[in-house]
Amino acid sequence: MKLKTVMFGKTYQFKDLNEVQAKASEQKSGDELAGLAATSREERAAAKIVLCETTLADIRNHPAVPYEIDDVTRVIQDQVNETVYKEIQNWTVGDLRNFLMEYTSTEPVIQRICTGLTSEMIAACAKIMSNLDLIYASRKINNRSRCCTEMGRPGIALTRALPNHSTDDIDGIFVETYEALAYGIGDAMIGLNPVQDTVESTVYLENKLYELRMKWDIPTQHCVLSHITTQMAAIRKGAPVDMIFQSIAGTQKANESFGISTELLDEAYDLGLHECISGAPNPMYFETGEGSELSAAAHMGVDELTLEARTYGYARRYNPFAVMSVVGFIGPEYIYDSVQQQRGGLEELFMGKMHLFPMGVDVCYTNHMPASQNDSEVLAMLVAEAGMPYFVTAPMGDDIMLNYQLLGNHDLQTILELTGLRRDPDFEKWLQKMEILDDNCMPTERFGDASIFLR
Amino acid sequence: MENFTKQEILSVGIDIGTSTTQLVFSRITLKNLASAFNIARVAIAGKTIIYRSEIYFTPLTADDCIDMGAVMRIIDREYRHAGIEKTDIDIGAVIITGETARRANASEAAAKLSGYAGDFVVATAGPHLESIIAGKGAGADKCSKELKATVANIDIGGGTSNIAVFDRGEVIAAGCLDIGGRQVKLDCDGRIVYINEKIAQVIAAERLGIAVGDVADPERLRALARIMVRQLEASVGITERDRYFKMMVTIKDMPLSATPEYVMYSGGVADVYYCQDADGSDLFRYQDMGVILAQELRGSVLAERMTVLKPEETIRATVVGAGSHTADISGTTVAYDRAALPLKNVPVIKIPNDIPPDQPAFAAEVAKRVGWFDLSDVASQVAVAFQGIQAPGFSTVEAIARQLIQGLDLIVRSDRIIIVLVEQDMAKALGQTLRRLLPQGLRVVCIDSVEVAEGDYIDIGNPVAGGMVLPVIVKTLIFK
Amino acid sequence: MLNEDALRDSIRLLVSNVIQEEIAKSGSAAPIGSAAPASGAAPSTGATPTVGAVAEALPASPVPAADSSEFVPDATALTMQETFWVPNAHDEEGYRKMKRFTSGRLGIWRAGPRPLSRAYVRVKADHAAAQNAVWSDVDERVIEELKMVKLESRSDDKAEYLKNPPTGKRLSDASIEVVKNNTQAGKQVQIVFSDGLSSSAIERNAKDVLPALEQGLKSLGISYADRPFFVKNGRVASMEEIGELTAVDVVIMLTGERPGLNSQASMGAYLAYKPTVGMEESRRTVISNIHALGTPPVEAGAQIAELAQSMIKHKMSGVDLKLV
Repeated sequence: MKLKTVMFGKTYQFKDLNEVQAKASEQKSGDELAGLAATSREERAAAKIVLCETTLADIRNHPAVPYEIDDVTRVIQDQVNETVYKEIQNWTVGDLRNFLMEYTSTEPVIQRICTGLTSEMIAACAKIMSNLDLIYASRKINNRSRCCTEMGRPGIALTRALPNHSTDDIDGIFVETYEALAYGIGDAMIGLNPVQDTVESTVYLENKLYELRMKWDIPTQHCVLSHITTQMAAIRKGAPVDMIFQSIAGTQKANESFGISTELLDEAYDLGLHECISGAPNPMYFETGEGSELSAAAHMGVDELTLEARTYGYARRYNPFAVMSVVGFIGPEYIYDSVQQQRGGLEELFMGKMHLFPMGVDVCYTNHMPASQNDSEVLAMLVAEAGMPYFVTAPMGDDIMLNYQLLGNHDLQTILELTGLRRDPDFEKWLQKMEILDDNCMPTERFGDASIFLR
Repeated sequence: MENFTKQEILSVGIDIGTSTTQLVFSRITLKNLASAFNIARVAIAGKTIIYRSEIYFTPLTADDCIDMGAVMRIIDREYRHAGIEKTDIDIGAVIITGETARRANASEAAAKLSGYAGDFVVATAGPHLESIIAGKGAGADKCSKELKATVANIDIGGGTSNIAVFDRGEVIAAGCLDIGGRQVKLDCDGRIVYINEKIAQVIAAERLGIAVGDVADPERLRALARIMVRQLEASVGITERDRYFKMMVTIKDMPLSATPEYVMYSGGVADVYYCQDADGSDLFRYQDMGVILAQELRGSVLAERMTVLKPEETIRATVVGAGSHTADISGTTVAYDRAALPLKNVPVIKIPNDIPPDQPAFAAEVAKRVGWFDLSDVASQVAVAFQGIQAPGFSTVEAIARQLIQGLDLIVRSDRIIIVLVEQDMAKALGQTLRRLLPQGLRVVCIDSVEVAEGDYIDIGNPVAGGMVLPVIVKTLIFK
Repeated sequence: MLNEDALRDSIRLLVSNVIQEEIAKSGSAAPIGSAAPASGAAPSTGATPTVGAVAEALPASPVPAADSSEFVPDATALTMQETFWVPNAHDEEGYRKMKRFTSGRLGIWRAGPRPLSRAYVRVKADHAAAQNAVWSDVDERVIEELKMVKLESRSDDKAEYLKNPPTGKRLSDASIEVVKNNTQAGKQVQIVFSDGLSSSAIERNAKDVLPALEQGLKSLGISYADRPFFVKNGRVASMEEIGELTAVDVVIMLTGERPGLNSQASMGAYLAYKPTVGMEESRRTVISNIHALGTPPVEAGAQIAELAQSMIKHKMSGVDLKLV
């Protein structure tokens, strides 16, 4: 493996592949905080040059965290399709990028190659891609999954309603849900982040959201995002759970800090396949965020983009219904500003798609980041053009429980009109039945009036 | 205190009605709704009835008073059956309902029973509170909330019909009519032995030809029942109020802003109403006109114009309501001296909302209203209630405390307990400030998140939920 | 909102008085509306608002826009629960009732697919206030008025403070000396403020939390240092070093929480029994959401005093205390 290069007469020497990966990364405050980032623009460029010439075999043979000590590495390495890998092991990362851009590399061709890749290869590739490269490649890949509705069909964007409430008040949760539905939002899921992480509360909320869906006959799924062990206990108590959620990360140590292990996730996946009321082939749902490993002091000297890719590699084991990264949520010490948010969002979408499941990016920021709604709206248009199958929105983009800003309920309809994307066809029909959309799928006078659900 | 997550308390409801006496035990679950990082917010999370007594005819003495000896025996027996000791009870309510005549010895009854109902007693409920309690016991409040609609509950008992109207869970009207299944009573041979005085006037005016001593004639009683049903229709705004309405309505008129969309019935007559197969059997099996009243009710336009719902409870609605819907709890940050509790039947003076509580006018108003009370009895208490200020500054809290102390001068000087009820969340700071400014040794009970009106009475119980909250029963005698 | 209706009424009256004066001056005909005195309509603080006060706390809701008024009404005066712009709603009454259950931005309607202009500019205002809360420093006057002793963390500026959290967890060398010189031996409690992620939280709440807290401590017989510390660019963990230096039983850290659009000035209280540098977070007890629309600052102060008492009694804090 070559770890040295000369650029403009200056020698750049990297001690190992992890250093190359970290320094080749676009600027992220999390890598700076961890002391891994390139110290100059030139050094970053040099690292990209070295990474560009690194072979896939080199990357396969030097996983970011050793196989022996990390379960995430084992999952990623063990799920590689060896036949496909053998065909491409001598490709450089540069070759992989070129391949993705080629006209002959159509969706099935790319998806086949993806089975022979490890997460570190995908992260490396993202680091030598421009924003437009990321959008162009992402748009080619439409991975599909099914819970109650189908996710990932080309030209279709599903959206999660986020009815979070600061005290889990059921009336508050319902009115937030009605508001979302009145804006044509909720076909990806009605997904609630609860305040109380107890089995009793989760059982109650699962039942309530299920009742709401049944009452209005809404073609979607619901999810209460408590800890996975809480949801499993709720299922065992007979709660009507459509799918099982968990936050995951890119190292075993970070996952341990989340209170999860592969064994536990295997058990949850099995439980989901056999006991979820949805009867879904893809009953798992994950959320991720760059920097979560560092914040748990479990980054193992690896840059946050590579760790994020590894997180997706780990998720792939469970054929998830969807994975969503909360790009600007973890904090400015990991994703500092709108520039890093935009870059991170596009990289994550691309890397998720390369892992063969439907990927969503929660286009968001916190108020202590130098970012604004304008930046989010731009990123939203970019990921929409990149064929992102899964959005999430809240009223005027304000999550009153988690105190961060995401896309607004109004933004979805706007994006659909601008890009020509459509909602889930069954959900569209339901919205027409509710007279929220007209025959041409345009808003009626009831669109935006949540009180149609009150009487 | 920070570790409180959940507590179950045992509540008893005892209903001594015109015709029947019953009792229920319920378990009330208190829960901390706040997340781990917030100040606790304790709320009532659930109520489950764990025991329902048999239904007894209310024992009466020859002069038509409640036979307390017999009532006590019934209650003792039911406590034994349920396997519950008096000391297990945390809170409770005794409701003595029905016609006013029977309430002659109500306070004696309440006093005798207080040991059975923990620290709480609702002595005589008053027709409006009764109606609300019955409506809640029947589940009308819950239905109206779920349906997001207006639901009327009519609790038709032996002597009275209690009407409560709920809109999306909140009471918007309540009233009571002297209409019931036992306004006309028969003996075992079917002869009329009793006719209520008001009903007798209706019979006379309408020349219905029903008199004590007659063998009951179903058709004539039907005619009477139709008049009664018409009053019930009028009470929920379905038909015009005729000349009898005023006569039948107890205390005062019952204003209604809109006709409810749904109606449900509880009380003894409702049992017959919902029991369709009972039609064929003996009309006078209860030795009264209850079955006929139920049948006429079924044929009324109420069923055509409104959707009839099924209640959760029929004959037990009032007792269930009493046992589980009268108790509430204070806000979670309060100040109190443990030795001052429990407090029972404390009259409330409510300072109008337009008087700023940090201004001298407030002290004057408090003093004026305290002056209305006869404080010659050393045991008498008064609670001051006011709206308060949302998130007040500390200097405002101090100013309010000073106004209160000045206004409560009579109370302070007579060494009585300072009892303050405030709607806004400020009781802990206000209570601590009162303690600082008051002479040493004076006891303070200062609670918030309690809404009361002038003329209400309040009971404040021993602390629950790790001492964070105080159980409260507000006895509203006048419907707001 | 302090008795908003009353305030609104007073302002209406004021505005109408001004109009009448104008009309009178211009010698025009009879005044519009009545000029009855505002009996019972004074705000609950009792003070009749002066014109200056109007400028500061301008009316809550759409004050009838008199031509003579120079003011565009305060777009931020209404809470989200009070805001409702859906025209011809299917069930407006029900919608408004349901809105009481959430502070989310519901019932705000649209222009085409986009938010109404008023909803948009309101978000801009709230976001501006939220960002300002993070990026500004606490007003020196507040620090002086409350007699706080000023300290600084190791963060050079806000950007470093945000990007490199560890620098905000330790005191600068100079500040360590200041703490040493200002420690009163033998006190049980040291109160500390820090800007955290919202300087506005300190500016708006400190003056009410502090006296309520001190009153509470005093009434419980707990001794506390006369002057609180204030840590500029300080994170919660800076309480640990202060705990070690002062050797008090309990450190009470009152800090600005990450601002949300509805709560730019929310304060969090972190208490720890004998904190030590680098201790686990689980040893802290937290009361968050202290602001005018959350837990009122005076109530929080009163409650925190009792919490400190419980820590001193049990000689522990955080998760351990919850298990007591």
